[in-house]
Amino acid sequence: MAKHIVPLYADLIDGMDADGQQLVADLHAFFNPAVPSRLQAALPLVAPRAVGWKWHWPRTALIAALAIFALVGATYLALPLLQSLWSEDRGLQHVTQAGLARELNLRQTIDGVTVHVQKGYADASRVAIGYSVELPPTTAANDGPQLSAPILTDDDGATYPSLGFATTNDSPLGAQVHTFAQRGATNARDIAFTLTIAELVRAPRGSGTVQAFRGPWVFNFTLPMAGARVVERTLTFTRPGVELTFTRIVVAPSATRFEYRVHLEGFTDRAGASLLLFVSGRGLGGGPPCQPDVECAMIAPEPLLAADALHVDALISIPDSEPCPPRQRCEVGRDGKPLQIRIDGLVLPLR
Amino acid sequence: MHSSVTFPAGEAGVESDELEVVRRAAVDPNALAVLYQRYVARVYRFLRVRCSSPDEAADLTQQVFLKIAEALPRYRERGVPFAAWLFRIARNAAIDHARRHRAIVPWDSLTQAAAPDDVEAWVIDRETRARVAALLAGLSSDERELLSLRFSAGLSSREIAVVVGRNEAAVKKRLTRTIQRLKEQSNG
Repeated sequence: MAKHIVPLYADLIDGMDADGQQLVADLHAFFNPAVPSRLQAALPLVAPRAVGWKWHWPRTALIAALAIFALVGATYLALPLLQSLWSEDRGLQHVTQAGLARELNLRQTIDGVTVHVQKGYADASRVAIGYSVELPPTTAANDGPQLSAPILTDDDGATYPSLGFATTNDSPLGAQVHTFAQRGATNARDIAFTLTIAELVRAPRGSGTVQAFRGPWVFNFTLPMAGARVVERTLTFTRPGVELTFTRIVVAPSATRFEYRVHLEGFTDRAGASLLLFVSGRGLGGGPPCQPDVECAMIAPEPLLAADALHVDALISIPDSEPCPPRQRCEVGRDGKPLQIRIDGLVLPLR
Repeated sequence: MHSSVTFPAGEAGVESDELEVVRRAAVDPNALAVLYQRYVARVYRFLRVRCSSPDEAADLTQQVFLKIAEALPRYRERGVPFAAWLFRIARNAAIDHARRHRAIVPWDSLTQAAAPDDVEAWVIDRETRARVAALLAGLSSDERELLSLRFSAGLSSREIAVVVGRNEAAVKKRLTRTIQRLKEQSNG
């Protein structure tokens, strides 16, 4: 029996003879076929973009909203749905209160599915677009959250990577707020955008099936990009085997972008390093997995323009290239070094 | 979305990585990606024995992760290990799928081996898989499910008990007996 699978089945093979152990090894081989590469590479369905959504509206509120919908129509309802989502983001709430977000009010219907792009905002850290979607009514089992993976481009041909999105649940009428990374110039200017929604998906609830609605819905609009304050200062923090260097901090009205790189010494076979920042135990944001010695960025969706400096704790996650085997608790990597390094008490200048 | 990722004070430590990732995954796509990478192979393998082809199992795996992502904000630990909660969703999806498709999964469909770079090893592997498939065909569907949860999903007896709604001792006993019976048949 191969040594690497012995710990997995210690409870079964304890006291077994060689034949029994061989059978367990054969069962392991039989039940562990190769996994298709398409599954290993991407998140489900809306791949390759990251997927995330939130539940924001209690069921009773949605039922009430649907009842009103039947009486007064969709337009008046979509607004509060979107505003609720938009305001969940502290940075977007701040720019709306400051009058920096723009009402777009663009609508397009294809095969009975209407997308209404209501609101947009751009600064040097990110771009946010909010839209509502009216899908055909369906059964309760099929009535899950609406999903889409819009593509945002500008007149210069740049494509803006997705930072994630929020969506409402359980309604033919839903809203989505998508945010995109902005890594270009930091000076204020107008940008002409194109938003393309190739497909809208309604995820099932319970035992229902996934429903896809094909577009594309395409919207052209211009947004004023708010300028940012840029802190060009190199700051390095070290722990044994790890060096975290911040190279640039871009402080924009809706979010702050931290550009950094991680250098590792003596770690082998690691999948990369990702950075999480905390303020008094509250998660400020996390960067996507990043390769050592490569310039990376993480975006904290917080309005920090008024702040002089930020006191944070950093958690650097350095996972093994092979995931931790089932039923094992991996405290350290296969090289015996830690999987996470914490650096507390960092002071990052914001001016 | 990255915003509103909030940890209660004092819970952002490194002691309980899984719970931390699960909490974050409800609102943070990066953490959801971590969960996906951790569990996708186990979920696929668990579903593969219930589907007639790798493609069908891969599609169902994606649907299961959609459901998991949708249900994550409602996950509460309360003595239910996360893996057991996740595989309960996968199991329910597999049952629904089987009801809708009524497909009979031939056990020998799982006996394909990798491309024969080493022909001798490939022949031995293929024969072994065929022998195991023949043994498994003689089990009840409940017994096969327990083996699948143990060997494909990599769950402990306690976690399997949560998934199938039985007590841990009964699961452990049945697993042991099933393997013992397979061994006797194999030797016989």
